[in-house]
Amino acid sequence: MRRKIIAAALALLLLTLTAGCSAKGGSTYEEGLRLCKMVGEIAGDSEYISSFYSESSQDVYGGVYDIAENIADGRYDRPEKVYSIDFPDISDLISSLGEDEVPRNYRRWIRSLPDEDYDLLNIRFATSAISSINSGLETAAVSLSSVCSIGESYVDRDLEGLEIYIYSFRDGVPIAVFFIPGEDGAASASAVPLLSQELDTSTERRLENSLEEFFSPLDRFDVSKIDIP
Amino acid sequence: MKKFIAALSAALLLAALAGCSSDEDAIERGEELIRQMAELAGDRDYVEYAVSGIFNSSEVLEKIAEGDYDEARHIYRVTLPDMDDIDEISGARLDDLTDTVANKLYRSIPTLVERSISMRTDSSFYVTASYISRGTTYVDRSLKEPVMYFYFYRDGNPAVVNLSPGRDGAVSMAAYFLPEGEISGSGEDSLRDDLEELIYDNLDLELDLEVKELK
Repeated sequence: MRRKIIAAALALLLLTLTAGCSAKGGSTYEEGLRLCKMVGEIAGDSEYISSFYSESSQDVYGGVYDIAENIADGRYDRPEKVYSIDFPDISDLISSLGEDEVPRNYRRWIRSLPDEDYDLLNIRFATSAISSINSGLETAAVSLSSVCSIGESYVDRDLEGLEIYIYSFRDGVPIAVFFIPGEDGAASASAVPLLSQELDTSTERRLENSLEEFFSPLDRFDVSKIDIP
Repeated sequence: MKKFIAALSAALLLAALAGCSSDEDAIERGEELIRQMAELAGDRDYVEYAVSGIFNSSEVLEKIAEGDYDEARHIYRVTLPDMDDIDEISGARLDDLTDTVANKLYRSIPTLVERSISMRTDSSFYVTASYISRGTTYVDRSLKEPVMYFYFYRDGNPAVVNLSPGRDGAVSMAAYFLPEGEISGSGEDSLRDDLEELIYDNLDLELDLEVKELK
């Protein structure tokens, strides 16, 4: 009897602790896929899309509804391939630009940054770089890619640093998802559709090549395939 | 046996309190982010290499950096109404939207409010302040609706820390400095009136905010 009560009390204690202050981790892949589906859903919400674009801005944003429809028509419940992108960091950028092209003060500043600040700067660098794949496109596509992007916080205890996944779909646009670790096992994820036709996501090697082309002279992109469960 | 259970319950309660006291924990984390932002504003190298080139940014940042952010004079918590109590946001009826979009819009309200305050007189403050903004994610299962914490200092710019619930108890926190003199820090009622008016004027949204002075 006594033992049973203690066991029950202990179980209760454990339960409260986990319920109150921490949570079980979900997988990075699953969270990313969830956001990909949301991107498709947002693009298909014509009420929402039209709230951004008035009749009078049609000449600037011409074609915006076609692009939205093209995203929304895709099927995002199962990716064909998922790649993990190891993005070069700022020191790599400096060395590939050539030391002479980067002001000495700047180089010194980068080197002097505490690890934490350097990591943060790298996260901002890599995420804005990947999002900038859209920036060379026509105005409507650039604007729509940000209108359809979505982020949320979730629990991911295994995440140790920035992860960038690109999900490619047989029928649908490729979507980049950034995963950024926070505190206590919490993390944030955000997804942005990649609308450039130049991005070839058919194989690791081809994706690597198109990234190198986009970000020349930056190289050393490391693309690896993620197993789809 | 009774004693044992009592001790156990006490430990249980204590653990729950220590780990999850929502406001206190959020305020401390927010203060930490505010101090980090002030430090960045005062970091000449950061201002030169990461922010320079933006209209009068160095003046704004210098002014922020001069403040004393060790202890806030007043802290207010502003809670948004439940999503079910909101009919439309930015001209879009929530009922007509998919859940994903309605949620996205609802969760963006604090950011829109923060932006409206920053842009009240001119937009350059907002742009500059966003270069030093800081955020984090952590776990707080008790958070149900988005919350904004407003910090007012005797000597320094006011700041806002937005806290938004995510999935599985994860929450995201984002801190921004605000321009001086644009919102009232002189009491619950005046802050509420001020914010509700701002939200009505800028976001075309009638919201009943719950404002509580925490300090």
